[in-house]
Amino acid sequence: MPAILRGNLPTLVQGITGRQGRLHTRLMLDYGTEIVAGVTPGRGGSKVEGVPVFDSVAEALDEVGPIEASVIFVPAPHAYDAVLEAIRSGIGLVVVITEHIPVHDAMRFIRYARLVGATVIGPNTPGLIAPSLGVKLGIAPSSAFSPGSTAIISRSGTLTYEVSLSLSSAGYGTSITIGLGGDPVTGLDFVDVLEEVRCDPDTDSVVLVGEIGGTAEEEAAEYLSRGYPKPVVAYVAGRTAPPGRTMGHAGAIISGGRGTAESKIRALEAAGVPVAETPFDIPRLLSGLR
Amino acid sequence: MRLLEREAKDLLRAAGVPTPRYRFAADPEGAARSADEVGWPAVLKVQVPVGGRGKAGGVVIVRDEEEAERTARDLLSREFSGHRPEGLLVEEFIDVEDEVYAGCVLDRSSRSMVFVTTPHGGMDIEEAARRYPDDLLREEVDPLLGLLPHQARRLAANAVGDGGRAAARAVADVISSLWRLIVDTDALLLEVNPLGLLGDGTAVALDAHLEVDDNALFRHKEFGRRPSVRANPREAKAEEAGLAYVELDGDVGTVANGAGLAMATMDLVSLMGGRPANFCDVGGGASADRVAAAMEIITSNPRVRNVVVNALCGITSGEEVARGIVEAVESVGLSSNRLYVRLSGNAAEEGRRILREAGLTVFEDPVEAVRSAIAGTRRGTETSVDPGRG
Repeated sequence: MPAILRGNLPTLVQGITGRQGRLHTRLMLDYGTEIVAGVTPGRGGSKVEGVPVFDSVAEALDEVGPIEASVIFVPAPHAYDAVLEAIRSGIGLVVVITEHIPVHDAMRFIRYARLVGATVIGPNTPGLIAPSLGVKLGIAPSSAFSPGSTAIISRSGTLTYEVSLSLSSAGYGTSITIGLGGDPVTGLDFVDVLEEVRCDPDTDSVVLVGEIGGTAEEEAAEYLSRGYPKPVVAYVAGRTAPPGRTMGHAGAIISGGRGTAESKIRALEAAGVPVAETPFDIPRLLSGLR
Repeated sequence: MRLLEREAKDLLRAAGVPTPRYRFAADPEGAARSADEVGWPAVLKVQVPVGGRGKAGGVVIVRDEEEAERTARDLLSREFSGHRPEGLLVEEFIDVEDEVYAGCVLDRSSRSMVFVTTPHGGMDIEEAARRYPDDLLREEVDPLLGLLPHQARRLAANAVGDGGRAAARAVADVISSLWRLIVDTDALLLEVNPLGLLGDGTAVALDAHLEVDDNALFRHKEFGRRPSVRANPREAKAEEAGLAYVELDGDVGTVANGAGLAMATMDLVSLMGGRPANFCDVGGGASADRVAAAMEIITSNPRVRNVVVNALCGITSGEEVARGIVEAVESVGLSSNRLYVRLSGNAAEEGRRILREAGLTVFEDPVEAVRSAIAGTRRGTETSVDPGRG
């Protein structure tokens, strides 16, 4: 596994008593994730799915011992504080599921995380899932993922499940799938995760699922053009998207002529990365490279 | 959300940035009166939440009351990039010595706001960057530190060039004020272009473009909830219903649960030789009321005959999603032969059974669903021309 996920980490769920928090705590536990505590300010002392709930992260650490990852379901207005509470308590991996977090808040907690060496995934991410470890930190539907050796790095949610299902039906399972998040500013981008799985012995190939907006795919192409030890295939959504309009994800917008699907596809292909026309062509491209 | 120039200027003034004298006028008579108050000649500027109004003739200098009223009447009756002006800004005309550019925008790759200045004000920053790339100065703002005084001084010196120490100081002050305004309003873009330099070493914001983060509006009640500015009635309706819907000019409607999947569905229609009519994302859960709202909006587009529904079920089971689709079709009163539904994923077989029993055309493979919807749309068109076929 990449260093980001050294194993089944003792995990905290912040915002555990909300509807989403409860539902996905159960689903993560069912999958095998080691959830040791939950936090909702003002709800300490209760339990969710047998998991003890505390008023603060500090209290959770005092009571249950070390915690290495946190999954955040806290509503957007309070997410900034929750993410920083986790990082300042020494939690090294923070997965921010919450959607609609103000960009200035995200810029600040992501910068802080980088300064202290913590990793933020998201915001607005389905999280990560590693089938062979039985670990899911987030909301991905486990039925769409089977164990294997392909890593999926994606800016999307449901489309990631589509890609994973299409890989599964062709006999490819996944080692790890990481959702980068659909917001304009996210903690990790393609290059960060490519670097993570570069030397991961459990991963032998990589699928990038991109979409219009920003330049993360172009930066990945630039990185890959300098040489990469594993086959990489890509898909980019939004070839038909008109400029200047936000396509569902806050980050999916072509602005000032930048961020078009064509530009991303051109850059990836120039770097030697085959780009699938549809999500269903990915397995075929992958088999051509191995 | 893009604010109108007058809203941006009110905020600039409150932040201590000098602007010309201006008034807001909602009608031609008000425009003439306001021009008289700010002094002749005056500048009339249409208030629209889009760029490019100058090139479209939305900024006009007027010299007397009669001309002001006549021009205002004309401007207020026109549309600018699909937007009716929300009144006019009537502004004092200022003869400046020089025009420079100062702006700050979100830079996704560096995950920070980046300030840019150039000495070439009055033209698009893209054009200035193309024509005078060496005159552009970028300063990344650390989100935790904010804009530091030495950065403001460097940016100002670059804009002013050899325009004098007083001007450089004035521009540095303006830039520092712009940063405070960005933080106070959760802005993702703030541009003053042009920033005018006067002979006495002062700087004045001649135009202002401010875009605030929609996701931060919960803590900015001052901006209020505003009616949709979308000229397209279906887009306006979708916006009010909280649906992600963007219209294109094709004839095959599309809807999916998830933004990426919705884009992929549109792309698939186009790749298979059809023309997508819209982008529409009802969200991962695909609840019945959201699907119904989406169906209603998509099928009210007169160009749309058939609709592809691309549902990939994850946490929400296929059964639940299928019931939602059936409920939506019934509540909107859609004829079932216009829908081509792909349903896969969690509990998909049960879901497809529910859809089939409701008389819908159901697919497991999205490529097949899209192919059939396109073929059905073509057949529909041919049928209307030649009832003997199909």
